[in-house]
Amino acid sequence: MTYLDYAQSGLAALLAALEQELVAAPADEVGEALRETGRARSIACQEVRALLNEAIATSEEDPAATLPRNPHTALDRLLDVSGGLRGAGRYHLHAGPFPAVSCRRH
Amino acid sequence: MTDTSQQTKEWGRQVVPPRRDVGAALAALSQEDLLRLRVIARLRARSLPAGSMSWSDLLHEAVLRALTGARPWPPGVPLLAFLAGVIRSLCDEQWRRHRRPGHLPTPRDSGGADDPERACAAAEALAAIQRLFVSDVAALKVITGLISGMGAEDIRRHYDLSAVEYDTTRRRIRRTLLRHGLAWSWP
Repeated sequence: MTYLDYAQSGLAALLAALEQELVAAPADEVGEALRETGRARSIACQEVRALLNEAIATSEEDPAATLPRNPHTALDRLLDVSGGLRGAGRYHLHAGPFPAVSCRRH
Repeated sequence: MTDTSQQTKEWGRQVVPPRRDVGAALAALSQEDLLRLRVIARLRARSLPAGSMSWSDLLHEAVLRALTGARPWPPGVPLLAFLAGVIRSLCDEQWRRHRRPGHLPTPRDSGGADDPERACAAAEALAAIQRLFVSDVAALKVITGLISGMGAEDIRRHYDLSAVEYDTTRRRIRRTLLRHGLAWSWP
């Protein structure tokens, strides 16, 4: 395994572990850490809340805002294609006519 | 990184509503949870291709997919863990889309290990995370152990850390991540 291969698998392992740490961190510990950051805390919080509100508004205006993510998935569901076959076709996900990522409103 | 029983206990602290109402669950997120989400999105965005999605784009898209049902929220999974999973798969999707059109996928593509650009980005992201802990030898040991895929017990044994040392180191790692997750840029 080369260094670059190692970096990629290592990053995947590290991020998974750190995410788990962040999700599981006790609320008082998170609060304590964040209090040290002063005003940045409330700004950051408002920023995330605004993002969530924007996504909620988008989904309410257009419930299919990000759908269909993958026309093959919808087709597979209709035809009840086996998981194995779906897996084999996953490399063609972005060959379809639909954008894979929705456009944010700015 | 934690014992299985402890993980189950800690993850179980997050109340999972019986009905999968993502909008209501998002609205009920605490300030602490919002900031956890922000840090998770920033961590993931750090390893994306240059000029690709920002952390806020990642988070917005993940939330949108959850809200629209494009990514269904499985029963029993805490919302933050679910959204973290959606963000992770969005990152994989970004790399697949980023590859040049003529690229022929191989069986190794699922791990992306044959993509030099992605591997370089991963190396840079790893270096950035390690720089956060450059003055904390114990944290660097734990981080190195995690990069190697070691579990909590293995890390403690390998680096001769007591249970208390290990737990306090984990706490410092979390605090550092949270503080830097609020900053406008990574080191």
